[in-house]
Amino acid sequence: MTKAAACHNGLPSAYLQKLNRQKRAPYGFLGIFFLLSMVPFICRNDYYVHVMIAIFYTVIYTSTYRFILRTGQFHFGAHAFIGIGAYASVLLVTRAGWSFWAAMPAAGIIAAVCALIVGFPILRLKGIYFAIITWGLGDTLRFVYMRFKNPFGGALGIFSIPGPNPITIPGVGVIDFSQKSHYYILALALMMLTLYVLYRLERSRIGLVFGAIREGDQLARAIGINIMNYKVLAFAVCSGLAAMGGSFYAHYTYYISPQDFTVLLTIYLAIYTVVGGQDSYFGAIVGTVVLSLAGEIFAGYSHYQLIMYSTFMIVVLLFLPQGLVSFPRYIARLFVGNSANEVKGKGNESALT
Amino acid sequence: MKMQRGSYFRRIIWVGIVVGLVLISAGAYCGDVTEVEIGGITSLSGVAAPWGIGMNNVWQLAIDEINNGGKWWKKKGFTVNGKKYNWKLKTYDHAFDAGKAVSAANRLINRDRVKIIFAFDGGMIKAFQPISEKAKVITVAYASPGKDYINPKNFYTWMYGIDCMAAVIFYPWLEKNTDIRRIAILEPDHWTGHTTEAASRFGISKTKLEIVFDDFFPADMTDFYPILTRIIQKKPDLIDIGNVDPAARALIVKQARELGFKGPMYIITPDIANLKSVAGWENCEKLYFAPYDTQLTEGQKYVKDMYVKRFGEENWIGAISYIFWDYAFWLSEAIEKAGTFDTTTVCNVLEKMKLKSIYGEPAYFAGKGYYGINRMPLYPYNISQVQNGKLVQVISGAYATYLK
Amino acid sequence: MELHELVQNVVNAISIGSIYALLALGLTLLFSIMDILFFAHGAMYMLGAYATYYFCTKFGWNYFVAIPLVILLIGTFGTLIEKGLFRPIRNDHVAIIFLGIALNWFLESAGFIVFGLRPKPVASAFPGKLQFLGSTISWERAVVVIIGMIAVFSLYFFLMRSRLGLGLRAFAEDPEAAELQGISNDHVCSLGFFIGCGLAALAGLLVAPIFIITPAMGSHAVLISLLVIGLGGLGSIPGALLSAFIIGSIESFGTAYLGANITWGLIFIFVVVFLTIRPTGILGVERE
Repeated sequence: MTKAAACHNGLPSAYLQKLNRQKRAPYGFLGIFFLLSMVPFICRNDYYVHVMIAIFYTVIYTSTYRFILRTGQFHFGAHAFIGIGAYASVLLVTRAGWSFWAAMPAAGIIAAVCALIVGFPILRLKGIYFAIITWGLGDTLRFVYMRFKNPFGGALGIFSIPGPNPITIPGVGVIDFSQKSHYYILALALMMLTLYVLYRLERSRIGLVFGAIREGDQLARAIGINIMNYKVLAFAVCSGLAAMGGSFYAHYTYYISPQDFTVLLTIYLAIYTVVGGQDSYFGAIVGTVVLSLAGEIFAGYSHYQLIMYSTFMIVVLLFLPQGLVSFPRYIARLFVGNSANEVKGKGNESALT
Repeated sequence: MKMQRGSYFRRIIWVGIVVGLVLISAGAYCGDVTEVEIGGITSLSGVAAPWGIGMNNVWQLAIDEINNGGKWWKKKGFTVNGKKYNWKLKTYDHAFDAGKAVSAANRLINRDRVKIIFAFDGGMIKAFQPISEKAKVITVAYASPGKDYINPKNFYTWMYGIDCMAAVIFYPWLEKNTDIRRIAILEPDHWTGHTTEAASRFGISKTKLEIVFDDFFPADMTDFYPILTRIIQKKPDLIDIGNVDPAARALIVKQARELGFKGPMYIITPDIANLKSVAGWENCEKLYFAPYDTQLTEGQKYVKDMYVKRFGEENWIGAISYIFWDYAFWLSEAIEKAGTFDTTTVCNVLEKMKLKSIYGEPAYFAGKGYYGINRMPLYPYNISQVQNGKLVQVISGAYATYLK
Repeated sequence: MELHELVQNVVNAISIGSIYALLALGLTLLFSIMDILFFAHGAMYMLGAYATYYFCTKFGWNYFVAIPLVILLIGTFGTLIEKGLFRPIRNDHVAIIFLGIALNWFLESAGFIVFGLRPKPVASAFPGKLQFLGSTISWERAVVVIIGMIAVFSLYFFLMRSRLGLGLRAFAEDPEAAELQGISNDHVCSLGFFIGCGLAALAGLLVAPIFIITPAMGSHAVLISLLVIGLGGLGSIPGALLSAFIIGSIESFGTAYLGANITWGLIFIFVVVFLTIRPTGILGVERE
């Protein structure tokens, strides 16, 4: 019936395959991690390393955002939880004197707890109501940061945030975060961790439940699945992971202000997700990478950059409802033939729900 | 099928165009003059885009003036050790997002290898300052100056602050020459607003004037009726809306007059044309403008004419434009004098140089007394007031000397 | 507190409330008929304001000649957008929101390139000010209050009493059943977009002279409208009116007695808490 259903047809054998794949998955993630961690030692230009770092933390935001979208909630307040993560970790480090390595997970936990607290009342809301309330939440927090100068630094934000504390890794040596490549490894590790957690969530029973939730709440509820608990769980886990990304961002840029966590951030995430393809696990990643790189190319021409983003989004929404990840399939179908109709038919079908 | 093939062809054409452009630009490099890049980081999109794009245009004008020669810069290009150099401006957008500002700085410093960055807004400068200072890149801050980013620790950061100066000149003069005693300060709730408010407070603290109202409004506010109602209840003699964005300040003037406030207001770098068209000139009676000359200097006339001719009257952002002019010339001259691009030497030369400013002469660097380092250009400062529909210069050629 | 201060604050609240109500009207109409959130409403408002600027200030036409022209122009533009972009994905509500965001962004950025950077003023067609009980309001604001009220009530009665309005409501209730009754879905959507965008243009026409025109004005307006219609209950016109006045009152009195910066924070907290307790808003109804 829906796009999600199309992904899950022929369940038993596909499910077994998935379980099999799942066992091998950690090795895959580790392999990708080591492969990518070579990059800063081959390409020594700090600029490219920086671009990769920015992509990594944005992928953390985007893929968690996509997962919340996947639970059927139109989330419009991702900036709220990223902001909580950034501010919490910075305050723990600068005010309470914590180590970054304790503060970052703590920031994630704080954000997850906040998500739990607000999740139960607001996650029963649907569609626009949920969007308005999450957006309102984010902007309320922004006003709190701006108004309370004492811990939050007011409109000017917090400056001179220290980088992560140096750590010693046996066999590698001291990593003191004086170079971009150190941040690169940290960001990469954080991203792979996030992606792995999301992968596990997505490919597990819970993931199937989310598929069911997206298809239709009533149905899932009728089978006896407690939707609320699963939704809150997803919301909390994703918010916590995004908050850890926010914490990394704060200690990487050394400066945060309320201006960094506006609804615009969420809109960017939405664009990345939609352009990449919100139904696919890789959609958020592809969208972030493609648009971030395109954004770098257009960096000097700001309004044209925004025009490029919005055109991308309009084209994808109208012609590639499954996002850029479906582009190869789309092309293949065109060449194999007969399937142009299928694609079209599918679009109509999904439009019916 | 057909459509698809068409799009492949189109893609090939696009790739061709891109490759062609790269070749052309590579060809452009092969002249006898070497091009050196100057970086720019400002807000080219979003709410403050008009300012950002306007200042980028002025930077471009200044750089073209150096490259091609003109009335202000008599020779073509600049010479270091007998070799001729041209500037090339490369500007990136931060859209008031610290992450983007840091990205832009990384791009400029690590990829484009610039030695000089022109940047807008204090918050964004604070965000990328750790990178630029570490890389010994000269940063010119076009922002309200704050001691937290202009200090001896940040050797390579320079500024062109006008607000701080304005306050220490304006308020003592006000106390001496008028019977204005009650001041209301209204600023937007962002970096510029906060630092300008601090500057005004600093200026007022040198006098016996009384601050009866002091608040910040959200930067995207357009309806000022409620807040002006409150201000007028406090019965101030003067409203200081120093560094409110041009569009908003014209609205404040208009709405304050509608609500019956007849007293003077104080504005830094006014966009007179905007005030005239939005608020109406009759509503601008008694307003103080700083810095604004009853007559533009030669340099200011020159820049304005050039700007209007090239970018159109539509895109002229008012008197604030002039402050973006000077630094390109000062830096080129300092590099010529130093005979090297080494930024430490250049900074040392620049600090002691006699400057030729668009606001007039003499101009020199000062600020040690307040910031601990000479990073602020002082130049003759004029403040004028609208009296009976005419701009009258009330303060002429003043220097903010006790910031020395 | 003196009487004239109180009166002035009440007048401010009414004026702000009317402006917000006018901004939100088109958005809430589209939501009530088609159940979609048309994010590019802000861009339509911006285009309406720029059309006013070009007709009145640049070409020097009479303001009253410009009114119907601008509304027709933007309404037609809205219909074209509906036909070209929104119809293919009409039933996918989330996609429509994303499309609206993208379109809004596109028009805003293109606006900066086409219209220039400098904010544009429109000379008011209603100069002067009105004074009573020691309070002041400019005539242009008074006109917004009057026309805003007229627009809200006539739209409400159009929907409730007229045959066309009945058709629109039948569509809102159940599109397929309406189609069976001979109400063309395509026509209803076109009409809905025409009226919605026309109302955005009307807001641009009336509100633009009070403020100042920049390409970025639309995004700000659409976010405020979203807040207004969310609080009022999505798709409810009386609800939007009521919540516009509630937000206007909080803004006016909050700014006057608590400070400008804290007020919008209070509004957000109020809306969030209210919607958490009563998710359908003030006058909204539960929708599937």
